[in-house]
Amino acid sequence: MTDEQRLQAFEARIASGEKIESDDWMPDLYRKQALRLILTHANSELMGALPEREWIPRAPGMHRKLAVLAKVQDEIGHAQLIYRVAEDLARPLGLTRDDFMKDLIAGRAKFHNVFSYPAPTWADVGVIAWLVDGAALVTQGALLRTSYGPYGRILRRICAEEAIHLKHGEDIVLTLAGGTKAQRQMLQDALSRWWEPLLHFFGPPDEVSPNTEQMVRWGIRLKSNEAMRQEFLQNYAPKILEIGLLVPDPALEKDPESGVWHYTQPDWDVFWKVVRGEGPKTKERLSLRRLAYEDQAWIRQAVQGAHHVA
Amino acid sequence: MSARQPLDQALNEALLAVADDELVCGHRDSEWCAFAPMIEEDVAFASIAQDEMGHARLLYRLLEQRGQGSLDQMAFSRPLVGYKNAQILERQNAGWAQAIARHLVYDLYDDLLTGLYLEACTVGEVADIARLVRREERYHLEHQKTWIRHLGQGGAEARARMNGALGDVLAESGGLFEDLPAHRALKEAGVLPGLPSELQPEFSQRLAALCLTAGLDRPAAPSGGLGGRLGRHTADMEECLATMAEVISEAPNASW
Repeated sequence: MTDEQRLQAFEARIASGEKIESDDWMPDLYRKQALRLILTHANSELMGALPEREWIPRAPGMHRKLAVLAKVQDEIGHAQLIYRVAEDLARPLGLTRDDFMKDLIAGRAKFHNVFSYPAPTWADVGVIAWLVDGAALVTQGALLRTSYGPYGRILRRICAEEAIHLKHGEDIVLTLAGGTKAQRQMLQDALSRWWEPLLHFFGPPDEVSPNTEQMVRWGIRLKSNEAMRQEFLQNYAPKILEIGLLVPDPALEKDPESGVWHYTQPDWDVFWKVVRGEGPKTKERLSLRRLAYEDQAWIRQAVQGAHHVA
Repeated sequence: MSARQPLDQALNEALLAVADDELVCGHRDSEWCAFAPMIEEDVAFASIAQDEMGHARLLYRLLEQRGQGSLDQMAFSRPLVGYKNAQILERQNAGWAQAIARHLVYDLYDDLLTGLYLEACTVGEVADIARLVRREERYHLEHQKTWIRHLGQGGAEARARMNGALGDVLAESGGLFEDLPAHRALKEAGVLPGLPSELQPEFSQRLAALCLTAGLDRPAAPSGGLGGRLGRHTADMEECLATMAEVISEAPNASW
């Protein structure tokens, strides 16, 4: 079979809704694009644990402490599951988890913009778990039918757990909304802080890169950025307003005819700055990861050594 | 005034020491979450932390039923001198070898405390909790045993670090085995079968056997770090309490 015939057969499989498995033939570009998407997700789960983990020791009360701890554990567990999917996909390229970690801490790998922002109050924990996880659920839900089988299967479990995180976040938010004046203010400030990063979450509206077209054609990705942002606004904007919170955008409004949400475009220069690794907390969080990684090199060596002995 | 009252009080005190140990241990474990040497271990330590804090919650709830205040107030809002945990558990995290050494010492102690001591309590609720706690602690102990084998047999550097950490931890672990007058009263009345200090020979024997298998030095007997059971604590405990109460203290009577 020529490469051209292989490619045709591959695309026919995708067109008929078949899933691609890790040991199936696939074009190099498919492998690399799928790997990049999957690694960005894995890195995001891992880096996403950092803002919330700061609040585990400070969580108000036993119930919240256990809930935040379980939630952060879930996120790191997701990272683990997704890195394993990436490891299988990367094996023919000669890459291992250690390469993924080295790329991440060196700032060469992408992770989601939203995890470059600070979480300065307890209310941020609620807003992150409700709305950032809510946004993540929209993007992950859109990937459930991805053509890469192992990733799609892992996403089903992840989405089920994320749905529980939303409830946890919503519970924190509702408690603060019904609390003292200071608690409500803390919540409002957190929402105002997170609004722009939440709109950034889905990426710029006009995606024209040939990369994206190819990924959609191969069924690696399935929905446009703007379609996902609209889904998010439709799901959450009414709830935010119902609680009595102010959205920091006077133009936010749903067109009663078309059902489309109008909003002020966030500053996309800020978005690209964060993508380039210049977010407010990007360097600090990566350096925490790097220090932990370097300090603990002796442990990884010891474990590998012990395996060789055994 | 019934004759049981002083004994009830003694049991409350003994239970509080166990609950505070679990809470503070779980708190330090939870601080590892996201910074353990590998992702699998982040997940494992987060799970252990939830178990330990879950045990604390069971005990505080029992104390709540025994009229000792509310769970969250007991766990997070007592003055420093009210906490009865052993000092070794409050010490700040200081690297992975310390984490494993301290957890091994605590899990081994807890296995004996629940198995030989609390499960034999004549108060049914206490014995029930002890059985449940012990069932989970066994997995923690297995986890730490695996790690001391990895580090004990993982080359000279790892072995030296593990030996050093175990020595440092044991030199502050005497407080785990410290008896209170309450413990003596409970033993005398037959509510509990012995004293925490009486668990120490068995502890040392088991620890020595584990170290031998793992290729580590023969461990010293636990000593030092005394006074925690009497409410005497290190500066690390002040930091721990301030951190735990940071959010709650902004509005102590509000819902969070």
